[in-house]
Amino acid sequence: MKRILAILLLAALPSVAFAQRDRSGGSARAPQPVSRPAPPPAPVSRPQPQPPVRVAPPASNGGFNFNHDINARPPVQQQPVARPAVQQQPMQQRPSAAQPQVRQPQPQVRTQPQVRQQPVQRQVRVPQPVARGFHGSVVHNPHGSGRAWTWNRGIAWTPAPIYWGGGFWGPWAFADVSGAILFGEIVDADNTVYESYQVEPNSAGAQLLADYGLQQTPCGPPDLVVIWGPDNSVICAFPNAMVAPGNYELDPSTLTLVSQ
Amino acid sequence: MRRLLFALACVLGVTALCPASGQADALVRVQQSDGTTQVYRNVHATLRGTTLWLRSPDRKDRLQIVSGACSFPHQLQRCLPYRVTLHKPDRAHQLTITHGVFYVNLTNEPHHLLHSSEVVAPHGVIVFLHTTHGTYVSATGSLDDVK
Repeated sequence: MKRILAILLLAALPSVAFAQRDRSGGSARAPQPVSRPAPPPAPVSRPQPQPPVRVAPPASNGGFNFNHDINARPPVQQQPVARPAVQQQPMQQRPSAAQPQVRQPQPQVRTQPQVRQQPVQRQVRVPQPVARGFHGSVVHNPHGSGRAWTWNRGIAWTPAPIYWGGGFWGPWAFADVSGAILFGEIVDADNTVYESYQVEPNSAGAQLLADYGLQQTPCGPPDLVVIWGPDNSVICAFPNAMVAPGNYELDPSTLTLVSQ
Repeated sequence: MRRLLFALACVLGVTALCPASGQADALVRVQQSDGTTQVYRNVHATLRGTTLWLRSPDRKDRLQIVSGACSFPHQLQRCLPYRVTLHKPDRAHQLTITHGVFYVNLTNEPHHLLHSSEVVAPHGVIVFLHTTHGTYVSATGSLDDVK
């Protein structure tokens, strides 16, 4: 009987030790390297360059330390980035309830998207929701079920306010849009400029475009499909047999377009 | 005596075979703007809806990461954090972030992050945050609870 007990204990001890090492976050002492006799010194006494030794920061077992964020002074409000003067070229305008869209002939054509050169710090712009009130016909999503959020595996899509379009078109944060590619802009009747950015592949917006077979193009030229997304975001696409030129509002629950 | 031995063997066996059950094993790295870096092991991670909670190793502090725009690029759920709150025992502190992202793998299979060699383990989570004061936060590990 004692032999059985001894065998059981001996068999289990290494496993327990391994488990405890894992629990300590791998902080168990590493085996010491085998000491070897030092090689004879080189005949030439030039100092050999030593690789920099990286010292891993010690693990903390206490509470989270964000003292630089908690105790720091509020960041200095920077002046908003000086926007170049709104060009007086006729552009596609944002529709409003009182003033319908004005189409001007011979608009400025932008064929090349501009890579935005922005400083890292940028004043966060909080978009103000505007009731567009599009009550036109619904262009049903050919790949949608019509039921809410089935396109998003049943998870309700809600905007994340610090990102352009609430994050619908990609993870482009207002504070750092340097990673986004400017894709034209829309000027409304009040000369308010709504910048548009390239939609990130694999985003919810990309799924919308794919479902309708739309191809994004820089905003500006006339006769485009203009899609107003969450938080006053806007993108443009070439029309196709399913979606005619004009203004559309996005219904994120069913991933459908509603015309003006 | 035999019963005692059997019970002892069972306890030892369970301890050895199931070291990860109910275990907080996420790892959080906080690098502040002056370069100081803190690493926290054994962090408890919980996903409640689209809000991720990280509890410090001493179980006193909680980092609440409120997110939106959750979508499913491939098999992973991606959410964009927009409000982060550090809950200390005495009070809560708002951390202003410029941007961030977290991925959770709610499947039973490991999945690659898109355009990355990083693999998210089953029920794993990966978090990246950048605050307006220049602090970088990263977290990797397993979700201890999903509600």
